[in-house]
Amino acid sequence: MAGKYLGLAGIALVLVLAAGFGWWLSRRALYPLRPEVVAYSASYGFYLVAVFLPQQSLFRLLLPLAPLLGDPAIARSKPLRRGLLVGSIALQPVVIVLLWFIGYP
Amino acid sequence: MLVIWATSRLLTTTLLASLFIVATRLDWNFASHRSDPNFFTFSGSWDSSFYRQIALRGYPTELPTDVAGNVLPNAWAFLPVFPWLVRGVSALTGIEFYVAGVLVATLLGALAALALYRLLSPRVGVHSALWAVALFCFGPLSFILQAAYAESLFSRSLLALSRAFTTPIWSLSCPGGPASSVGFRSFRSRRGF
Repeated sequence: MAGKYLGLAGIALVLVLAAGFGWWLSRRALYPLRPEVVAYSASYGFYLVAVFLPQQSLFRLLLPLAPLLGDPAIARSKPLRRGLLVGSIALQPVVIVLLWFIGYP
Repeated sequence: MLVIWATSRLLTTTLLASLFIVATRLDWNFASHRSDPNFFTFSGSWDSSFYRQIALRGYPTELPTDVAGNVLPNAWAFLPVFPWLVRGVSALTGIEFYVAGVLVATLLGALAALALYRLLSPRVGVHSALWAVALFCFGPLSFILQAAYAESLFSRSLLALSRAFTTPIWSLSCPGGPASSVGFRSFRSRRGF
């Protein structure tokens, strides 16, 4: 499916994302979230890859992975947690303009 | 925890409202047909109109089709719990669907943030759990936690269920609760976790 939209680059992108997700979940830092939260997140990741097309709703569909934000590595690193927060806030108006006025579903 | 949530809603509401005003003034294209343009119908853009239809008239008994006989998008693609909740609030208070929808969704968004906190804090500690809540509440798509849409209800239910499922409390929500709770506790202690 990825190949249909972006060719080989699309396939590579999906593989890189999947590998990155697997790496994130297998890290030692996530041990406190094992087994339930990690197992659930991995299953939900598989489900998204298996069932959904690349579409605007994809980012909304990532919301159920919110428990992974409890990764202690995020709260431990000041630049990381601040960067994520500032980045999120900065993206809010961008996303609103994109989804509510330009590329609305 | 609730301060984080309230601040985030204030920020998103400000962003949405100012973009709504700017877009109205500059005459941009809007996501949904605007028969009664205001902030609340704006918060109920896209498919919220299907939820409104379910709340007010229920599901269609006859499927709409195009000239070729293909079924057109309709309310059957949407689940009933959120619109029924909003309908209940509307019936009790007399508030219009989109206003009630935004209120219900915002409240459920707060409960979702609370559920996330309660799921995480026993596992990763208060500090990490609060940062998770902050990133959840301020996320790029966090407007979904207050739009007249079923997402906040879904998140709240999912996160609360995750917590119930990962603690012995889960047994209270299923038949034979107390007995299975004892069973689960002994299972846990035997497995040593």
